[in-house]
Amino acid sequence: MNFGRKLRAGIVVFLGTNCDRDTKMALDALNFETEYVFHTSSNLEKYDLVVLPGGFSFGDYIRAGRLAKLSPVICALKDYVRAKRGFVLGICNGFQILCEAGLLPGALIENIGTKFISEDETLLFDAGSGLEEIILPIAHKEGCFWLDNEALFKVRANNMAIIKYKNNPNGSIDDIAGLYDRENKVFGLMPHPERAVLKSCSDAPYLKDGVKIFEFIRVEILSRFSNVTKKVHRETFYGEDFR
Amino acid sequence: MTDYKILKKLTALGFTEFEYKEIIKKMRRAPNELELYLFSAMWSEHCGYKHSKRYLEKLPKENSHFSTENSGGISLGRHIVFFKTESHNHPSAVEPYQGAATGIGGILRDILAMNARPIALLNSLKFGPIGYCDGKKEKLNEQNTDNVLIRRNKHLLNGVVDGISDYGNCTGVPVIGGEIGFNKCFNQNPLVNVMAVGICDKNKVKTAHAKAGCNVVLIGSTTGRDGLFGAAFASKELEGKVSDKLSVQIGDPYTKKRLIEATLEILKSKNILASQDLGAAGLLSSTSEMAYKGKVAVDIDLDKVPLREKNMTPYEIMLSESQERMVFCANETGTSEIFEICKKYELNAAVIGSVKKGNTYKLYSKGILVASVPVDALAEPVFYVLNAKKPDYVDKLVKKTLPLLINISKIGFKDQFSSQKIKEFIFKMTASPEFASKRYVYRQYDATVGARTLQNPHSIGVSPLNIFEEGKVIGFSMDSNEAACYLNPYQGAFNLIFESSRNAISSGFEPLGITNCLNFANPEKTDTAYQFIQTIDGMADALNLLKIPVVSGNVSFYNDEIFPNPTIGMMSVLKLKSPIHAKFRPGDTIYLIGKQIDEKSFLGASLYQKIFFDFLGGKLDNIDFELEMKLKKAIFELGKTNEITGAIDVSKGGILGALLTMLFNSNHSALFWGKTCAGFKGEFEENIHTLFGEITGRYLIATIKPNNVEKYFIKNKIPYKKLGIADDTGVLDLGFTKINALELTEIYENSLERKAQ
Repeated sequence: MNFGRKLRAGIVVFLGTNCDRDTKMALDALNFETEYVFHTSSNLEKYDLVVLPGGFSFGDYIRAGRLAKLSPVICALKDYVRAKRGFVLGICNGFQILCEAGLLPGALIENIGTKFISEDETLLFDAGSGLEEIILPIAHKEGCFWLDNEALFKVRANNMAIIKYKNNPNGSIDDIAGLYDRENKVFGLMPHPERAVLKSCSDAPYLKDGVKIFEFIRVEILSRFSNVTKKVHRETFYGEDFR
Repeated sequence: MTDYKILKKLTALGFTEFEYKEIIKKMRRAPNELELYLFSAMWSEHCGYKHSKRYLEKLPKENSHFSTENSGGISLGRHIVFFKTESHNHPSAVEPYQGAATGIGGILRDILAMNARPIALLNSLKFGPIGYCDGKKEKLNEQNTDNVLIRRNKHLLNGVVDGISDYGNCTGVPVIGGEIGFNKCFNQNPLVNVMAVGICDKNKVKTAHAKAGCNVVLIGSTTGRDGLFGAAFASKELEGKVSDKLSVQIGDPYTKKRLIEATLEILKSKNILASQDLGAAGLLSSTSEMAYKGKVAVDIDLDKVPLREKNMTPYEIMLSESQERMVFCANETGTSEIFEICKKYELNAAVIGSVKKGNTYKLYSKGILVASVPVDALAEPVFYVLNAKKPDYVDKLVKKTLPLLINISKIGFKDQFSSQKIKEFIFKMTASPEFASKRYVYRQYDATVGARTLQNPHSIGVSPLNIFEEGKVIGFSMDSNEAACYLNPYQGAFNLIFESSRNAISSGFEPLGITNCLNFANPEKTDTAYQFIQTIDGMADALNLLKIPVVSGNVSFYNDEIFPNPTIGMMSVLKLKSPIHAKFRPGDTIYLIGKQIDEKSFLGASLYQKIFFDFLGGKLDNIDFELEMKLKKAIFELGKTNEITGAIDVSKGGILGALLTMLFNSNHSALFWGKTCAGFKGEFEENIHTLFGEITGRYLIATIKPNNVEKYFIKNKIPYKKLGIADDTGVLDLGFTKINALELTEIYENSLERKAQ
């Protein structure tokens, strides 16, 4: 679908965010129009995609994302989601913040081995056309995803866990590596797709798998717009018919 | 003060009477107490390099940039890549977590002060053994000294790794590689050497030259009593007292992250004339160095320094090593820009003084002039000539050989007993912390943040980094070999430089420059002085031969009882389209190129000696420079035509060590992703020297076009030998013995984790 313009992405920067530059480089390379959004800003309306990149938001001394959820930008993000304006992507620390802020169910607790894990992980990704094996880097200490039974039932019923670990490294329930709320278009994941986008000279075959995640997101954003257009179109149609 | 009191104080501060007299001569009067403290810090080994400076001048500097500044670098075109190593051995011995973390913090600030964005970290860690050596059964007695030491070494290893992990990961600078070693000589003093890499546009580099008429602006954390006397602390031997702990600084990675971003934003401005980080000897060394380099005077008002504790005395403020602080020299516009930016990043900022014409360093407290010292007197300590004498052990150890070794090599592997013995050796070496995969440690460091890392650590000789700005790939590695440098300091250091460059070459990289971190014991002892001087000579000679400079460095003395341990960090640039990995694929033919082995080949300071016999002795090999250059040319030329599919230099563990490393790297994915398992089939009929001997000038290469490659070797007169063929059977077949490769890989990958816990 020709959208007529580049998709606009806002990359939220907290003082401890450290994947902001990587995310911008990746999105720029994938033909998004990107901008940094400082944590004090509450103006998100113009973005088709809001990314919460990885890092340590405000130091994450209490718990990852605990303070970030109180910042102006996250308050604005809640309105953004409620108004169904666009797509929200939380990577690593961003996923932790989305869970803390209640935009996604569950919580991320310390890895089962209590240690930080930096590794290339094999993941099972379901973009809607069946499971696909992809490899993305992970780098986190609090990446063990956990849910109560009731929420887990919902997650399973709505098929929200679209990205799972093949060899669960951190003890996450149901091997969940990422959750997607289709209704509200909120997507959070622990692996780092932005680190596997840029053209590299390594012979490792997997270093471009991040592109698949961002292309999935692009399709989802465009589908939101096409839904909106369809809906508008239908209303007019019914209107005319009625008259 | 009476003479007696002065003398007591001088000893406590680490001064000699001679130095005190020098101070009086330079100041033309006796210093007051505060001034004496200032001198004690600035004239310490840590800040003043008083024992090492004369010798460091021997190291080549050609083609390096800014090598007299906080950090030197190598030009890559429009950009300069800065890199430097620093030691944080003493703090890490006392408080491993904070010691290592603040080590990372300190080296990052050195890079940052140049206006370079830090893009990578590496580290070289050395500990005492974390398990028993071969032949000794674990003793049940908990209070056994060995048990106590092993427990302490494990505690230090895990503490240091945690510190680097928590701090480095939070600042968003990837840890891309390095090395970890274990040796008895580090039982008392572990070594924590960290290296940082940064990049900056050639025209935007900032130096530490202060200019008259400017403000001195301090930003970052408040100043407290932590890390007091840190510089003096690092310049003496540890005493194991509680007071040692107070000299360790406390790091805060979140503040560091804000400091990095704020500093880089501040340094964009033309109104900032100089920048300097606050490391050893805190405010004192940073401001006085700025004054010294700019040949100007500085007045500091101590009441303006933001403090975190009450009632701090002037010397506490000046010598505090509170972390996460930077100081700038800025004009009025620059000053208000700094305040603006610091507000955004929620950091403190304060104008604490001014720069004037002249040569006096003045401190004011409550409106009173409390210290007034000539700038050059502070910055130029007494430089010593070391009193060196060749230690007795040097000649003794060369003659020592392993009696057992000769027996096995005479029997040969055809014999059932010795082939079983060799199989045992292979398992033992694979499981030894020295040889086993360091994955347990490296997976705790974020290696990929920044999206420049091309490869997770350790499947390749150097860690490659993508420099988008220049369309180039550069590589970094850290190397050291304490056993070789003990056995023969000159040859050990000489070989070390070549070994490190072989690492780079085997991956397709051309060495460009090094940074060094020289870890030694007490230089006032004649043995250490000899080792130090010989090491520098060996290093300088090797570097001059290779025509690569030392861009930056650090000296750490008073590491009690350690073997001489020069650590070098090397920067190299990729000469091929893509790096060559230390791997092979099924169907590849494996060749040994370079020096061929005979019974006279050397085993001196080899891993074989250490792991199996806990022995050190024999000769080190010499370097055949012509051959080294020929091999480099061969790898680059064959790499260009894609005829090499994998390569590794032969170092720790000899040919077998290199072959196993290639096998394990090829199998890494098999183990974790369940793919087919690599194997190897070849004939080894010779002796211990063939398998484990560590002679110089050798590589293993893997190729899919053996005929072409052989033709090339013959044409270019390169000595070569076919070792065997890689397959996917999952069996390591050495002719005399067969081993399950997957089982061995499992041991290699997980051994360190099992031993460290």
